[in-house]
Amino acid sequence: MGMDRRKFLKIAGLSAMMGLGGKAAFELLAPGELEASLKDLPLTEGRKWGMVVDMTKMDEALMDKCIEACHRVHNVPNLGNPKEEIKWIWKETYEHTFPGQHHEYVSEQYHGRNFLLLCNHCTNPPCCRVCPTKATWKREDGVVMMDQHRCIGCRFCMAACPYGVRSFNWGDPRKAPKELNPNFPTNLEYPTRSKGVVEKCNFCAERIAKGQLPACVEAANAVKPHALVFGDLDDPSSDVRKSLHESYTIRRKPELGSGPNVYYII
Amino acid sequence: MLDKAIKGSPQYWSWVVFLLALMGVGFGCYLYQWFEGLRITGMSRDVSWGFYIGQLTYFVGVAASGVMVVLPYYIHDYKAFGRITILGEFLAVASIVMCGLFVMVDLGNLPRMLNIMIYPNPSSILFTCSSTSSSAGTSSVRSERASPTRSGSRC
Repeated sequence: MGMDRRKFLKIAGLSAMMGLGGKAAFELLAPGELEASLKDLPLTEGRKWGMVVDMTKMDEALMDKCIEACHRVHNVPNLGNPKEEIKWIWKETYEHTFPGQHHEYVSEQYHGRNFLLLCNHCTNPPCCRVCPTKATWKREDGVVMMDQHRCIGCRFCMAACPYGVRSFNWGDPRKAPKELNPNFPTNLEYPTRSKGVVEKCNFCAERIAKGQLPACVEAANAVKPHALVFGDLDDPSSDVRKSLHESYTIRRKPELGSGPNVYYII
Repeated sequence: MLDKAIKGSPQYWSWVVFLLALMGVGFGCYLYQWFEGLRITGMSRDVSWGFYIGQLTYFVGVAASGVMVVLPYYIHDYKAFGRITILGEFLAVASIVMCGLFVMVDLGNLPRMLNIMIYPNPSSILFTCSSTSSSAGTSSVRSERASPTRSGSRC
């Protein structure tokens, strides 16, 4: 091999540039194709979608209804194994929901009580910062979106999320046990996922784009109005802002600086 | 120097066959994971990274130490270290290869791995890792190529 150091460094530098500027190279060869898939996703009217969970109006049965509605709309299977569980919205005790708030003299009203948890659609989402392929990103309307066709399954976002809202498809969700999921897929208008990708709550982006409320909000409000309030935090006249104005609310782990946009009236 | 690898005693060859068989078992296990998904690893929601990533960090350390052993010879021209240079370089290259393989088997979607380069996200540490490890690999290979002329007589 007749190559001196100078020539080698030249080639190494060029290949490094090609590697780093790979996207630009792709854009040159096939303009627009990379981003085309993203353009199909309709953006919504909001600027900063957020939610208020009124725990004074919530009970176990109602929370189960919300979970059921969400998982039915999004084809989230019951895998029958807590280790592989996929959760978009779920229940967790007060101690686990607000770890910094807990102390040994906390009122029985809260001690051991379940809270409703979902993706906080953070203002400064750590999951998007660590994703090596930008498969998860913050949309202009505030939704932290996830592209399961781009996800390589590295699970970095799961490590980054301080709220544990992300689930990985350890196995194939389409092979979920039939006896636990008799009608899977439950919603033919929403895609099922393949194995090896991460998924999470998308604030029902496909529903709010059509002017509907998220599935959990709809399910909760059918039983108890304003148990879940969804709206644009950027709009001072929206329901969420009114709700935030009327009641004292807390958020999960705000000290981390991720800026969660789900508020709790407790 | 690589011609040394294809000459050896029957003992050597039985060792090679044994290692190849081990690799075959590993590949078979990977095929099982390929069809079943990462669920077979025993990782879960709460333990989302396991031995795969643990091994990656371990071999990064081994590779770095391999390069460190080589440096006195190249940079300070410290001749006594010349004897260990080849060993250090081969160890570093092998470890870097292992690092890359451990990251690959840990991915849920290996065929999409090039998305890291197609849609790069410089704020992701995984991006930094992959670019630094590939450049570390390149530099090890470079010293590999440069060494035979200087140390060929010893091996």
